[in-house]
Formats: sequence, structure tokens, C-alpha cells
Amino acid sequence: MPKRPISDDDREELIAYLDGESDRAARKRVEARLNSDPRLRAEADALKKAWELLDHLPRPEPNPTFTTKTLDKLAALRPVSPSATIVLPQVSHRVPWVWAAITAGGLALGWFAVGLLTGGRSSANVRLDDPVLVRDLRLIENLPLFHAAESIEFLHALDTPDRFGADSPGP
Amino acid sequence: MSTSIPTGGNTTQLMSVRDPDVRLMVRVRDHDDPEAFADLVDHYQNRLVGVLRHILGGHPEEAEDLAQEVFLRVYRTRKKYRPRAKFATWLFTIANNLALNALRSRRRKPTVSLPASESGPLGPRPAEQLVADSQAVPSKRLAATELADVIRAALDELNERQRMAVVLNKFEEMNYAEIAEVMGLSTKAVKSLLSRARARLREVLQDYIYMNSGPVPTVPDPEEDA
Repeated sequence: MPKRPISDDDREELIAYLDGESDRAARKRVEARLNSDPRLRAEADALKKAWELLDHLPRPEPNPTFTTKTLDKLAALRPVSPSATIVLPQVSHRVPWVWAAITAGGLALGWFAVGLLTGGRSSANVRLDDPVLVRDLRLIENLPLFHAAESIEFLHALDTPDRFGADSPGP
Repeated sequence: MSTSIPTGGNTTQLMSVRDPDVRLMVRVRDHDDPEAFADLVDHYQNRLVGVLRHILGGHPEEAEDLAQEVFLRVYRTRKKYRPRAKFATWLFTIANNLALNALRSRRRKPTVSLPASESGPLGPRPAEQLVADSQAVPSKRLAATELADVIRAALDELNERQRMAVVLNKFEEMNYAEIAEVMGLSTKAVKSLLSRARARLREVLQDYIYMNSGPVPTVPDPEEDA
């Protein structure tokens, strides 16, 4: 009697059997077929041997300084108060830049506000309809943020939910 | 140091008893305990870097940077930690998410990777290479390196999810249910994913399967059966 070819379902069941993931009924089915079908036995053998070949991959090890470097970064993350849970490490070592950026941004906004209040009397050079100011308003408003970030891609990433959203979909 | 376990009820207590790393993580969560966190880093760094290296390929630095990011993410999200499974499951869930993100952004910004020998300070210097060569039986060393390259290439043939499932199953010895939890899939989906991945590996590695292990088993010709 011709043996039926090995289907995807057969292979799935066989691999689950080899991995010890079959229930009792499936185990019996696979064992019965392995006893009677030399092609399935050869397939099982080839699958096992291919799997064992992965043992030849080198096991990479981290640099000996890995723990130290990680804990150094952790030191920057450790909260001042227990409630502070999110601190971006990339920002922490740029504190002087952050302050400089905030100061620059504040000055720019102040300059802009003075222009608004005085209607241009305090400075003949500031005009609310100045096309340069209008064009760069968003840039001026977000100057501190741009200074603190590594790149514009990083800022875009902040808006990506899968990167900075719920971090622990698991347990 | 005794640790109180204020949240999570029986499951938390059960997991804490079963998995010592859960106890460490609870200390990190509740007391910001740096020693407990250092123990976790120490315990998992090799495994995590190994898994990420297999998933990402490329330069070791990339896997290490990402492993570091995983640990920092663990710390940043410690207050959300609820021990409903082994600590490793939670850790590798975060690793899976970050690795898939990294692979996605790598696709957006394709780079050309050079072999170690062409990458300046990253590759071995000629003198170091000579020492290494002299310390190994050349043919064996070459065979091992070539075989590793072939297997590496076979892994690269798999898609990202298949590769992740294979690496977790093979090197982390995770069962289907654990892999499902890490990858956010059903157990049935993992079964199917691993089946396709292993069939592909068997196909790609066909020429190497019986290299050192005797004759290839004879498979009856289907025509003869008929």
C-alpha cells in the first residue's frame, strides 16, 4: 500500500513530538506512523540532525566590561525620589546642554513676547509678521527639546507607541 | 535581605518561591536595590547577548548595546513588574520587542557590513591572527569556522519571528508556551512557526546533516511504494 506523502501538518506534529510538546493522543499517532513509515523516520532523523547542527554555532559572550558599563548607566537612571520612574539616560549626561538649550529657548521666547507686548516699539527690528520668525516659530518653541535629543529620528521615535509605549506586554 | 511581596497575591508568592530571579526583581521593584539588579545583569548578560547576537547577526557591539538597553528598560519599567511567569520570560519579552524594533529600523536604514578582516580595529591584527592560527589545528579550525558560517547563513534564511522562536527554543530551552508568551503569540502559532523554521533549516542544511555521522538513511522511492 502506498504511503501518503509527508504533509505540513504531519511535519508540524512530528516536530512537536520531537520537542516533547505532543499530547498523549498525538504522541501515539506519531509513534504509530514512525513505526510503519520509513520516510517519516528519515524525515525525523534529518530534522533532529539539522537541529543538532545549531550546537556548532559559537556562544557569543559580552565584553568583560558589560556589567560595569550597564551599572554605570543605571547610576544615571537611579531616581532622586522613588516616584521618578522614567529618566532617559541619553539626556542625563547632557545636563549642561539641556540648561543651555532651555536658557536659549527662554531668551528667544522672551524676546518674542517683548515684541508682542511692545508692539514693536522696543525694537525696531522685531516684527510679528516677520516671515523668518513665523517660519521658525515651531523650531524656537521646541529648541530645548531639539538640543537635548540626539537626533530628529530620536524625537520621531518618541512618538512611536511601540518604542516608548507600554514596555511590558508580557508578565 | 528579606523581601516583602506586597502585590500580586498567591501567584507572586508562588513565582517568587520557584524562581529566585523573581525575588531579585521584586527587590529591584520595591527597594531600587542596586545589588539585586547587578545580580540580574550578571546572571543574564551572557544569555541575553547570545540570543540578541543570533537574532541580529552583524557586529557584536550592536547586540551588546541592545542588551544594555534591555536591562535599562527592565529598570525603567520595574514598577510595572508583576511576577506572573519566570523572570526570564519578562526579560526576553522586552528583548524580543527591542530586537524586532532594531531590525525594523535597520531595514529603514540599510547598512553595508564588512567582514571583520576589513573593518579596521574590529578585526584581528595580523600578528594576533597568526597566534590564533598556530594554536589550532588548521583544518579543524577552518572546518568549524566554515560550518558555523553555514549555520549562521541558514539562520539568516529564516524570517525574524522564526529566528526568534528557534533561538529561544534551542538556546534558551523555552517550551512552546513560554515562547508564545515572549512573542505575544498563541501556542499553536508557535508550533506552526517552529515547524516551518525547522523544515527550512533542514532544507538549507541538507548537505551538512550527515557530514560526520555515517551513511545517509535510505528513503524508499515513492514510485516503488506505489
